[in-house]
Amino acid sequence: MMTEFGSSALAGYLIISGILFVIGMIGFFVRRNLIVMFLCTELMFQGAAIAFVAIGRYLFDYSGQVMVIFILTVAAAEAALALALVVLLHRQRNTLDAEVYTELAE
Amino acid sequence: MLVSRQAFYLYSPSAVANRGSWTYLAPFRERNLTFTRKQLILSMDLLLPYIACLMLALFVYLALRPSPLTMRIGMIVAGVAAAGWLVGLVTGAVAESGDSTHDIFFLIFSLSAIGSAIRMVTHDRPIYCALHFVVVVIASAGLLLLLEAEFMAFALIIVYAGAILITYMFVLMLANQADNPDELSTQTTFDQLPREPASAVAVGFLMLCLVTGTVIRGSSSLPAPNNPTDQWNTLAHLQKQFESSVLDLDPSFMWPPVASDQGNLIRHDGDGAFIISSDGVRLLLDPELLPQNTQQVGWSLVNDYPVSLELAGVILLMAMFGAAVLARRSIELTDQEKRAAMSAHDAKISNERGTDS
Amino acid sequence: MPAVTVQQNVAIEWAGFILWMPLISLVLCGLCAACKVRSKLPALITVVSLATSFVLTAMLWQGYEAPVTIHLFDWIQVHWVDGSFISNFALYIDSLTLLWMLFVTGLGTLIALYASEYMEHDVGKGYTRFFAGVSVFLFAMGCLVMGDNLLMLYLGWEGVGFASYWLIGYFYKKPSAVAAAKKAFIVNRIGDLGLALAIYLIWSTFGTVQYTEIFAVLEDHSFATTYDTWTVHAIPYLLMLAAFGKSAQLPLYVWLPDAMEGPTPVSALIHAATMVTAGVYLIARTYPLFALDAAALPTVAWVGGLTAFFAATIGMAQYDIKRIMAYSTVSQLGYMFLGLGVLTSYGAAYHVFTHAFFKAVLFLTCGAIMHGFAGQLDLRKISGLRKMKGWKIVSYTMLVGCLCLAGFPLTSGYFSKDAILAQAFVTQGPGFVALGWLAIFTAGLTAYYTFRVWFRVCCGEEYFEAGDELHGQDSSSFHPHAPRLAINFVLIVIAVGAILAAAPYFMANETEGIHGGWVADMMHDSPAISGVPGAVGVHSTDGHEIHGSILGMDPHKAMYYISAIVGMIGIGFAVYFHLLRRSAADTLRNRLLASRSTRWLPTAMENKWYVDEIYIATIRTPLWIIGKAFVLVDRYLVDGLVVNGTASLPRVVAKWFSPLHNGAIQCYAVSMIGGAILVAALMFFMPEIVTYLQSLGETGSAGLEQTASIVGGLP
Repeated sequence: MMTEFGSSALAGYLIISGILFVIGMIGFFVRRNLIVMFLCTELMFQGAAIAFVAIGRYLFDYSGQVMVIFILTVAAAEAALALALVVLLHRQRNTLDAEVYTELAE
Repeated sequence: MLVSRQAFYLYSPSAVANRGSWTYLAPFRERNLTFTRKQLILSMDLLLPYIACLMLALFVYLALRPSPLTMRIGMIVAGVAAAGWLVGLVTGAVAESGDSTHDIFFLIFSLSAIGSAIRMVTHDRPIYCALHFVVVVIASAGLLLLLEAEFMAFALIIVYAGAILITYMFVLMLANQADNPDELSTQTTFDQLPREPASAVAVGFLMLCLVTGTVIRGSSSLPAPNNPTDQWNTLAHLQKQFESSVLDLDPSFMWPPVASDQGNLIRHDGDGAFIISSDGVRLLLDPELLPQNTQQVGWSLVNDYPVSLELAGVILLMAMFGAAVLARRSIELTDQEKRAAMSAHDAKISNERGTDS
Repeated sequence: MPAVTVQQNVAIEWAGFILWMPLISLVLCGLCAACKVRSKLPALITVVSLATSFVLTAMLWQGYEAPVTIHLFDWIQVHWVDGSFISNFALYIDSLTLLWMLFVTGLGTLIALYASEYMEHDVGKGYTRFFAGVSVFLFAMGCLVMGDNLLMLYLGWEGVGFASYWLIGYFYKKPSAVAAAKKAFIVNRIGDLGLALAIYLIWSTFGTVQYTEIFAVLEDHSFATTYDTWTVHAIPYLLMLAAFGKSAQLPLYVWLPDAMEGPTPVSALIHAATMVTAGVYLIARTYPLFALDAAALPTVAWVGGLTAFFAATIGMAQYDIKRIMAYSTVSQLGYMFLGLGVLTSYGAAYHVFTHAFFKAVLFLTCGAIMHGFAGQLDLRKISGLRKMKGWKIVSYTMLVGCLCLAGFPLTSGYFSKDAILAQAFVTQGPGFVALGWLAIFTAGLTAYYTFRVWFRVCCGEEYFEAGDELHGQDSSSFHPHAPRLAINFVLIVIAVGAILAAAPYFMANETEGIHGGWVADMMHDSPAISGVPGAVGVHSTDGHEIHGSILGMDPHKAMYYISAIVGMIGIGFAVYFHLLRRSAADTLRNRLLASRSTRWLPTAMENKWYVDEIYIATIRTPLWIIGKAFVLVDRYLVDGLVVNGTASLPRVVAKWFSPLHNGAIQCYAVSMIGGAILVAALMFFMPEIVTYLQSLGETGSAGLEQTASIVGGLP
């Protein structure tokens, strides 16, 4: 890590990661297509990954990047299982709309 | 609310102008600054970040719903304002001299990431959402490159854009195809209309304010970073590479070097890193000998987090099994087979009961 | 007022049986009702027990020497540090008590005997209930008259009110009877309020409710100066209110004419002879208290006088003979109050005594007519009664009563009314002379309407129509049902008593200086002594020794002649309009109705001066409206808003929150994350909370104190 990395640069990266996370969160709340909802969760992962790496860079610690590897791993696993479930749900109701699954309503 | 000296320092134009490329002072070094009234108003760090968050939230909200032309114009204005603040945050006066390559790349990557993310969230058609996500992934890989984390950047592209998103696209096409094969248009209402955008954007706005506020306020109270010279420790562990690179540098060096009092092979002083051979020769190590990012990450993984590494493998294995089990298509039994299965099941139950009673 | 010595005498504890006999009769009548007795047994029980009471009263009277208190049992005794409230069941027997109890028990027995035949139509249905009511009444009247403290008087007061309500509403299936019973009770209640308040004020002023102790405190002449608060001045007015309620004076007389819905023995006993005199008794018993305010007794006099005149004018225009008798009762009660107000309690008591007899006779004869003519009471529809077979006794006893009521010379009513009329001119007081002339004029009216009844009903040619209570008989084959032994016997006995009631006037007085005969003697030993002529030398309400005069003559002597002349004039008018030329009455009435200026006179008089209608408009309707308003308040505010509203509150609140549980995970996600963000924002903006939580973890209670100071010092 050769170049200087001050706290204001870190602030910039963290804000960017925050924005990505928030956009992903908004997307998760707003979209009704199941697959797009999962895509938005992946976006949230992106934000978290950037935040981890930025803080690791600031602290001269590689643990941040190691965390991102694990995030990647878990995201892949989760994506696989989530898509399998989406396929099953799609088989049941023949739609990708998240609104049809409201059996927990009162 | 206290205004931290450092925060003022960050955003006042004179401070920004003095910054150059990332060469501003460490947060615990003070600097005497006199602020004019105009500078204070311009800095406005009490409220400006939150207003920028509000602009961004408005932009997202208006982008979500189909809205008339005036709203569209307002949306663009809000977006430009938010982007402008971000730009101002990062660079200040671009016209000033100094090495601002990092700043420019940072702006390019971040704006495209954010733009693509918003488009991904607001697009009607799921395939395009996935494609925009690819752009986001590439942009964040670029950001990771700027952070000198090359391995992560490429791993991100390979795994995300290469594997995960392809899977998403497969499933998308599978689902869309199964919907209505006769219709040409694949747009469905549930894709077009957002679900309660107001409350979602409100919660997002709150979160963004929280994050921004924390970052800006708390950037003065970050913990002290580690010693940069700790990076050389990895090299000390990579014996073969260490030896070969030292000998490449100076073939006459007496291997192995002598450890310091604390047990470190590589010592540091004002000139840089050096090693001392057993016969007292001091060899200054070239910064190019530092291990690459990949080596650093790999060493950290294996040295510091071996168990997690193993567990990650197990997680992947279980995910594979789970996906295979879940997505299995159920076999359609014919009536005869069903009856046979049922009778076999009943016989089994009565056997158990007979043995019980 | 001279002190009256009171002896505690336990040797005549049997006097308590004067009270217990009607109570025993009540219990036995109750048993008869429970066992569904279908004979005249309840009447026998009642008559025997009332006769026993009368005999015991007579024995008490024979052995009477001085006022005694006979303690029966401890009733209410409340003591605390600086006061006490003692009200025992004890009898205070002085001559006033004996005077009252004699005619109450005597007439009670006779009227019970009369009722045993009168109510025979109801044997097996309501007979027992009637006699139970009569027993209750006599027990309560005994408590009222013989009690030694105001609380026992109040007990009796309420008891007679209840008995009156029960007996007026005897024909409970008739709506008019039920309404009349309620009216009687409610109007009496207004008076009862006055009595209750008066008892409270008396107790708070004097510290006791026993008569002897109250008068002992009053003896102290400095009482008037030390106790000059408005509460003390209010006591006589409240007592007055009570008396006016019970004894049917203006403005609370409206219940008495309607009370004629009850059976006639009830009207005779309760609403002529005994209960309505309870008011007079109350004032006589608490006479010294009326000196507490200078305007109390004149108020009594004026109310009495105006009532007498007012009721007489109404009585002149009614056609129902029982109603006429009821209004005449109100009028005569007015005379009694007038007497009390002009400081002749002797006159008032004497008038009570004589009125009891002759009014009872009049009511009982009206009852006999009603009994015989199937409920016919309209004097336009019965005529020539004295010529009908079997009705002579009724006619001539009625004549005796009418003569007494009209104040025909040398009848008992003549002397008693004289005493009152004369005293109105003797005593000096505000407007008493005018009141006296008004009373004399009213005497003339009384004579007129009394003989109007007698001449119309008992004289002239024979004519009758059956009334409403035919009991299934055909009206064309109806024969009048002449009274038999019990009724005739009682009528004769009471008529003789009415005649003999004049005799006490001529009896010599044992006590020095008093004149007025036996009744004055009886009053002498009582607190009402200041109203006895000759007992005290005071003839005015403000203490000066002045003797008034009428037309320049001494009132006592002149009144004999003046009232006789006025009575004769009244009877003369009645002779002309109702005996000789009956059509003249109708002509006069039609002429009055025809002329615009006098049209109001007969209509108003026949409609009782619209008093009932005024009461309905001013009191009953607003209360009814308020009641309806409160029904709405109850239904919509209390029930609707408070009760049902509170009950539906959980459901409404749940409805607000139920959209949070719509089953869509995104909604849940928004709420979860929104909440988490808010908590994080709170901790971010208020780091004191974070330090507080940390201190809780670290130091426990010491950290609490420390951070409490931190938190407390912050805005």
